[in-house]
Amino acid sequence: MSLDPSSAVGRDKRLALCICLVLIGAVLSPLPQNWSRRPKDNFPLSYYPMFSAKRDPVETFYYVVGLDAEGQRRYMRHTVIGDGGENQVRKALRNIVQAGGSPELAQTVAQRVAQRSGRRYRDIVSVSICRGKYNVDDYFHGKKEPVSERIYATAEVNRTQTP
Amino acid sequence: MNTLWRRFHDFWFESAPATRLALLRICVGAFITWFLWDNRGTYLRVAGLDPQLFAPVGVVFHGPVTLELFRWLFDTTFVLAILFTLGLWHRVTAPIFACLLLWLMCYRQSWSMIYHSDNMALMHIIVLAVSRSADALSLDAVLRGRRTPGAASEERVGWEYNWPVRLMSALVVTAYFVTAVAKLAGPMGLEWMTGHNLRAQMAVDAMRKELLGATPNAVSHALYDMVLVFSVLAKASLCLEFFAPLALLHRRAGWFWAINAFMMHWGILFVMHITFHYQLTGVMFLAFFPVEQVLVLWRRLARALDIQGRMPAPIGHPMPQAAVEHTASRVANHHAILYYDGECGLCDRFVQFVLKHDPAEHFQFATLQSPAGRQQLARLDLPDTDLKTMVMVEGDEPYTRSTAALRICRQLAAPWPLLYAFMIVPRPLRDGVYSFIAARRKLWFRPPGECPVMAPELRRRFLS
Repeated sequence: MSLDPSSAVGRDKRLALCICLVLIGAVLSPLPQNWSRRPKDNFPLSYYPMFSAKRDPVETFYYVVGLDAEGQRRYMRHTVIGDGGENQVRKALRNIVQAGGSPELAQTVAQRVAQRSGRRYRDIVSVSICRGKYNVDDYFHGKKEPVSERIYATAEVNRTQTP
Repeated sequence: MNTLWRRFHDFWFESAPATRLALLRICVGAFITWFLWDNRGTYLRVAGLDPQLFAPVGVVFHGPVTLELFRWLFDTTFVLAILFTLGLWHRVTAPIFACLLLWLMCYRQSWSMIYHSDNMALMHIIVLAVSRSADALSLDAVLRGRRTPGAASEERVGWEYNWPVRLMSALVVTAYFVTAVAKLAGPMGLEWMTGHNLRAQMAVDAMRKELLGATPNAVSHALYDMVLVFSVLAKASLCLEFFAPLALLHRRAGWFWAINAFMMHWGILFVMHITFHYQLTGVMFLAFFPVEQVLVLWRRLARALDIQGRMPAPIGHPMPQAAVEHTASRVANHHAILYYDGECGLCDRFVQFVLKHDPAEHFQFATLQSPAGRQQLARLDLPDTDLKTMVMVEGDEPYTRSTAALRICRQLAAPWPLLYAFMIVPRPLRDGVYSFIAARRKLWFRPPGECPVMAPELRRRFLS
C-alpha cells in the first residue's frame, strides 16, 4: 500500500502516480480558456468548444456557387475547392477569403471544374466565391435562398484549354 | 483521509493481468495503424497546402516542413505503429513512436482545422508507450520466452498493469468533463439543456455541408421540428459528460457510462454524419472493460472444439472406454457446486443443459432437498420448504437467483459465456425476471419423471 521511496516498488508507484497526475492535469489544463477573453483551441489539449458556441437565427457561411448557362445555381463540392475533408476545406475557404485570396481560388476551382465531366460539373460555365447569410429556420422549412450574399470573385470555366 | 488514500491506492494500483494492458496496446495500436494507412493520402495532401493556411498548434513551434521530409516522417511513424502493435523492442520503439505521432498529428491539425476526435487516441498511445504494455502478447514476450524457457508472460499479474488502464479511463472521462464545462461556461450556460442550441448546432452543421455540395441529410431535416427530442438529447448528453468522472467509482458504472457514451457517438453519426472514428469503433472505451476475458473465451472455445469429440455420452448411454478414462482423470477439477430443486422440471432441464455444455466439468450437482443442499439453505438463511432459487457455490462463495444462473453460463462452452454480459443489468431487475419465472416454473414445466440410467462418470458429479 505504501509509496515508500526507499523501496523499488514505492519508487515505481510514485513515478506512475506522477505520470497520471501530469496527463490528467494536462487534459484539464485548457479549462481556463472557457473564461478567457480570446480563447484559443489547441491540440491535443483542447477545451472542446465545438458544441458550446451560441448559434444565431441568421448564420454566415462561405461557399462556392457554380452557374450553368441558364443561370441555375449549384453548390460546388468541397473536393473541387480544396484538400483535406469538408471541415478543413470550410475553414480554409474562410481564411482564404478573409486574406483576400478569392480571385486566385476562383481560378483554381474553375480549372478543376473544367477537368471534371460528372453531371454536377459538366454544365457549369462560371464559379463564384461567396459569403452568404442564411436564416436557419427558413432553410429547414424549404426557403433555401440566402438572406444576403456577397460575391468575392468569379471565374469562367474554360473547357477549351483543358487537356 | 488515510482511509480515502488507502481506497484510492487499492483502486489505482489493484493487481491486473498483463494481458489486459497488452490487449489494449494491440487494439489501440491496430486502430492507429489503420488510421495512418487510411489517412496517408489526406495527410500528404494537407501537408502540401498553401503555407498561408499554416497556424502551428500543440508541439509544433516551427513553420511548414518540406513535403519530402514530412512523407519520410509519416512513413517512419507508420512503421513504428506496426512495431508498437506487435510489441517489438517496446521500451525503445514505443516512446519514439508516441513522440513522432504527437508531432505528426499536431502538424496535421496546424492547417486551419483541429480534429477533436484524434485527441484521445494520441493520449492513449502515450500512456501505453510509457507503461509495460508489451510484457504479454508481444514479440518481446516471445523473445523473452525463448531466452528464459518457462517464463509464461501471459500469466503475469501485477499493479503495474492496472494503473495505465485506470489512467486511460480517467483521461477519457476527464475529456468528456472538459466538454461539459465548455457548454456550461459558454454563452448559453444552463440554457444549453433546453436543447435549442443543440438543434441549431445540428442545423448549422447540416447547412455547412449542403452549401459545400453534400447531399442533404434527411435525418437532420426530419428531426428539425422535433424540439422535444433535442431537449431530451441535450440533457442526456450533458449529464453523460458532466458526470463522466463518476464512471471511475465502480466497475459497472464504468460499463454503463462507456456503453452510453459509445451510443451517443453513434447517435451523432446518425443525426449529423460526424465520424469520430476512435469513439465509433469502441476502441476508446475498451479500458473500462476486462478485455482479457476475450482470451478466456477464446481458450474455452478452443478447448471445447478440442474436447467435442470426447464429450460425455448422453445420459443413459454407455460411454466409450477412452472417454470414460479421460473424464475420470478430470473429475477432480470441479470448481463449483450447483444446488437445485430436485422436484422441479425446469431445474432438471437446466442441469441437463449444464451437463451438456460443461465439457471442462466445472460443476458438480446436488439437490436442495439433500442434506448438503439443506445445509446451504440454512447457511443462506433461506427457507427449505418453499424453494425459490437455485444456489451455486463457487470457491466458497454462494450465489443465488440470476447471479447464479449467469455465473454458471460464464463457465460453459461458447457461446453461452456471452450471456454473462447481462450482469450489467441491475440486480433487482435481473432477479425480478428470475423470480417471475421461478414462481411459475411448476405450472409451466412438468416435474421430472423417472430418473434415467446415468453413466458412472456423470453420476460421480452428483453429490448425494
